[in-house]
Amino acid sequence: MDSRGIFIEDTFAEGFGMAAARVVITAAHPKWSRAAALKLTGFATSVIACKCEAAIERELSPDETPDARPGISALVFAMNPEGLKRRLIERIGQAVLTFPTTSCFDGLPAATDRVPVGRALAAFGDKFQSSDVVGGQRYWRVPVMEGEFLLQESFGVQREAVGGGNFLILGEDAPSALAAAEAAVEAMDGMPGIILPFPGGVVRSGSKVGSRGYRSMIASTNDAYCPTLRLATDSALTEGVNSVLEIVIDGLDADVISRAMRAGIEAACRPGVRAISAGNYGGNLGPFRFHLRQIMAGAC
Amino acid sequence: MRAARVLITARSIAWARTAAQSMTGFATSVIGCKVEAGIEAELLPQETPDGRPGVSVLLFGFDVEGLRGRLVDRVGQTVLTCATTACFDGLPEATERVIVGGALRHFGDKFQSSKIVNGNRYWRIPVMEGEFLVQEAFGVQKAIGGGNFLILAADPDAALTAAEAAVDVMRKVRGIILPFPGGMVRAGSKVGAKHYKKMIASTNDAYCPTLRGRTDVTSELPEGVNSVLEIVVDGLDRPAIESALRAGIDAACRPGVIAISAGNYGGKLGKHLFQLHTLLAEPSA
Repeated sequence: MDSRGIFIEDTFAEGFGMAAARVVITAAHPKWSRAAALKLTGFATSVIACKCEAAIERELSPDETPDARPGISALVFAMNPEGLKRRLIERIGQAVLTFPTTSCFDGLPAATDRVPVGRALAAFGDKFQSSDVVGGQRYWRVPVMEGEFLLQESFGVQREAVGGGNFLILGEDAPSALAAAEAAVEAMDGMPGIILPFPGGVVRSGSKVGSRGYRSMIASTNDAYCPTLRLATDSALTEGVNSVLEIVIDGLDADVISRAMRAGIEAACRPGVRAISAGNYGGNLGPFRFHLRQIMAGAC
Repeated sequence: MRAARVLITARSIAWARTAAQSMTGFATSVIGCKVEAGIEAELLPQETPDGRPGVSVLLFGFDVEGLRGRLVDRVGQTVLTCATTACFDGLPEATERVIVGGALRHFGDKFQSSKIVNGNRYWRIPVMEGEFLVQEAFGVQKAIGGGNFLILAADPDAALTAAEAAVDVMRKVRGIILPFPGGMVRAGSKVGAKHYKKMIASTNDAYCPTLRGRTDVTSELPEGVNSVLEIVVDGLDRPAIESALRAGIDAACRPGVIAISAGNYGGKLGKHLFQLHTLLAEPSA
């Protein structure tokens, strides 16, 4: 199967179930909500090493936010609701509570599963905090030096979230792979319900489970896809492929990941790209399979 | 504290900045995040080891071992993974050194190789894009955290404008970082809490304008002060912090600002005291 002359391999990405929250940060100016969101979502590339995966979802105009100020939404993914609750408390406490003019709201109001976040953070107010219930939701007002920090008591949890959506861009050379990856990221940027947790949305260090050389490593370089190891290992790279980049996608459900993959792959099919593939573990680890050819045929 | 300087180079300044931003996220306070980190400066190609554009990042930890752990975690998650980057030690003179590339090399699953250039070992770790070049060891030096000043203003807009002006000039000073988002903090804290036994820090009620009228709060705010912001500075040494504080305070003294103060623990916790009056009496560096 080809997409604009570029070979789409007959394979699939393998996704895992995760728990996700959407954090809405508003501020006096979009640059402030963005600065807070960048700190909130930094060092959050893989759930194993960083305890969560997080990134900015999209910018919000004043008519999309609870307090009619400019805002931004970030998605945070963890392995379970308890872990998610802790990461939200840590990260909102460090990156939003501290930051001038921001307020912080739940962005999944329809979710029936909820975790208490505001109450734990409001304790920073040393019993000088107060709360109000508006529209059935409790909001905390925490006194800080600037004035007060407003944040919502409970955050919705999407239990059917999915991590590990991905595709691989097999390029003729490093600049071609990078240009295609940048085009893919641009096409997926701002799509509701998904994030690309790695820096700039792109990963160059695809991994395999475990390691042949070191017993204690839980993951190591995916040598089959390393162009410099083509002659040293059982390479999966076809002739002419000299650089590979991966796009990793977490989403609130499997459908949004499929849609994002299609948009990203379409944009990545450019001159200098030989093929599109995907990473999986033989289907043994995760319950979600994103078949590239089905996705590109429009079967989301 | 102990500090390291990480130089990230990339094909473009945008990619170096992207890696640095991810590396320094969630790194505002060493207690909450295990490390304080920020971007120190953007570097021209002639300032970097491989002649490419780069960004230097400073990371501060409580001790050498903690800092080593954070370097391995963060370089591994945010630089090794990031397209086109290479990663170098930015404190070549430091005698104390920790193994970073020498730990991350294991990702290469024995396909990695190394070269020694001018006495320093560099690892070439094969990745899908090509290879990741990272230095074996990073210098660690004694450093100082917690430099700060408070901007006491008539209203939130005046405080924010003054804080932005301060951050703008301070970001030009080498050897320091401002670890909080946007360089400023509104949530100044006191040690412990009056009302919760378990809290190790809670809001600095004496500086909260909304608590001024309460009988159970002894406010430190002069009449007319209705909003306070803090600038927190970590630095490689005392002169760097002093230059930054001096430049920042000078820039923050604007209309709508009523006073500049600083946060301390009565001089009991830290051995480095920065006296505002002494600082401002000296000529700018």
